[in-house]
Amino acid sequence: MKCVVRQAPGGAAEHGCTRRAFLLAVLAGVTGGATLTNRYSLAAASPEVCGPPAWLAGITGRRDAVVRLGQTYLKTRPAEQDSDVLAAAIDRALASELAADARAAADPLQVIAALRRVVRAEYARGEVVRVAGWVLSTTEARLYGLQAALSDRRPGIVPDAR
Amino acid sequence: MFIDARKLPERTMVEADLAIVGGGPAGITLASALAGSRIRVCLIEAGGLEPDAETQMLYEGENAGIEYPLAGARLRYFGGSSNHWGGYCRPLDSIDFEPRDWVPFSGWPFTIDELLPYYPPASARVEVAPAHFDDLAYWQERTGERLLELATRRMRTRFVHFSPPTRFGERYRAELAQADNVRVLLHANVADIASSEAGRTVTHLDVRTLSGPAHTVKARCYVLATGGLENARLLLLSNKVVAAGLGNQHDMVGRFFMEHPHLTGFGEIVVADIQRLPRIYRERVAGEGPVVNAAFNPSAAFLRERRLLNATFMVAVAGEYGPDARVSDNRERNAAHTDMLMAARRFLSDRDDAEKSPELDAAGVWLGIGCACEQAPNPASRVSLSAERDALGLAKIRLDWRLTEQDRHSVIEHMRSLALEFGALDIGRMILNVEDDGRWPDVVSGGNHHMGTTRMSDNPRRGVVDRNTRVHGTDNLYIAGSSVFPTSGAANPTLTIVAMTLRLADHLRKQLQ
Repeated sequence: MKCVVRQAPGGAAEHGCTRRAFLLAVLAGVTGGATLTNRYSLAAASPEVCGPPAWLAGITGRRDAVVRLGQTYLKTRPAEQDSDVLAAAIDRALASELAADARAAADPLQVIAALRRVVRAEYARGEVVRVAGWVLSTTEARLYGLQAALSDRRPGIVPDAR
Repeated sequence: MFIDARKLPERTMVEADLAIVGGGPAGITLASALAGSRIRVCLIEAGGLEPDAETQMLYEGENAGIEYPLAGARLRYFGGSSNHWGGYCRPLDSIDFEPRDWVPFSGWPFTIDELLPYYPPASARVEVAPAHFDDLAYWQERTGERLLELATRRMRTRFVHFSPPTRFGERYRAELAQADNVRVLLHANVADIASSEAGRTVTHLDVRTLSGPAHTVKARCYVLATGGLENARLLLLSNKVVAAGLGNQHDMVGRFFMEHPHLTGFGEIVVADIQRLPRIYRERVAGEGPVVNAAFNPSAAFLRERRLLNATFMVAVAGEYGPDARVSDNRERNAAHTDMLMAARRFLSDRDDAEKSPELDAAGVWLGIGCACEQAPNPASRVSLSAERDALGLAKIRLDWRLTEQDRHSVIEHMRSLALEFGALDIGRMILNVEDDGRWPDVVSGGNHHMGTTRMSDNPRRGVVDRNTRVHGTDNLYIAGSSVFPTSGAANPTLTIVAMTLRLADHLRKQLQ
């Protein structure tokens, strides 16, 4: 499947995020001291500077729709109304796919591919939640929730479509 | 030969070896199977060759439970309810015949093996032969499309075959008219099944017409084939000898009424790329003979593991979204669907239209979901007699259709399984419009499938008829049709009604020759 990885002109802001995550991943590979959670938390830490991380923008669809679903998800889960908590949960779901491959963990395309596998597997195992009536994989719902959480930290990011 | 009972002289006595009451799929199949034999058959039909309102009104009755269209769910003229049949055909599943410890009163007196020889000739009678109900390889080759490799191990693919549909009255009318041993009595309403002391032997049938003349039909053997509601009513009405009604010594007649509950609009699936769902899953595809639709059916292993009732689901495109689509005016539903299509587009489509325009991002279809869900046998769900009288002066039917938490939970769980399959295969996302809150939605309908009211069991205390569908305690009275089904399964009943009737024909041939 083709994936879209959004990059700012000249590769400035988002590229910076990817590189930072990549560096952390490399560091983790060398030292074994960083976790996937750390990487994604950091990558998502400054949306007002770099927007959502490339892997998140590349796996979720149109942002206004994603945020509406994500906000609905977060309303029913107060404990997850924090981007770091959500990123950590997503990381945990990704761990089996990427833990052994630090280089892959830093490549947004590989992260996206891994997330697809995780989401498919969750559906197959029945690890789902209801969001506004929709039956969604747990990680898929958290991806939408993370987009919503990040947009909350950056007012005006979500077009008010309806 | 066809005879209009209204034109016979008053108190005519019609004699036969076998009297069949009811000219629907079961009655016509039985008469047709015996056509040309030495057995003199009298097929008694309450209506004529065409529908008429006065006769149809005899089906009106009283609802005590879930609202049910008693007069609209069946048709009282030659051909019976096959005259409005949708044509869906599929055999019951093996597990439907088994006693299941999580389904009270489950278990047929025999396994599916008993019926397997009768499904092919039944398929021919409903014009779906050659049938390939479970043959994935056949349909894969036939359609040239890879069938889905279902991912959750909950569901499997099965194939519903569509009869033209066979209108039994039209299809078999000439054959019955030409058979020397068959007489079809039209406009003849059976008002009483007269029996000897303690109801051990049926002696004759009292027949009335709406315009006046009354007659008698006397035979060696009798078969009730008036449908899943009327079979029970007729036994209960026949109470001159056995006060509780013929065959009702153990208060079983009329109990265990079952339907295949439907929930209108209880869920929808959005799909961004319809090519991911092979055509046979969403529209009818022609085979060598019949047209066919793939259906989703839970595996026996999953039913056992989760202790669920059976179900069959089919999907079809119900609406479309996109730049050129004609979208319905249900704004709330459209908004929910398009949000999901936009949000999950990268899971559901290879096309990279992302964020080019909202119309492209939201492009896709939504699928409606049809189901036939098993209802657990429930003695409190029942047919009895009303205090009101019909135009013949007979007590009208009173139906108390009840559904249980077990029925509801199974439907919801299977809907969830369908959602998981579509998610695991990256085909679509499902919205469930019913809450799993322990309550049935306000609006529940059935599929015009009336089952269970004269259930089959070798134990007279648990059933009305035995394994040969003979009424317990009565030597020469049999019942044909879905009223004998001890459990409903999740397949539309007509094919199994015909298969069971062909089996009964074999039995009666031996008994009467």
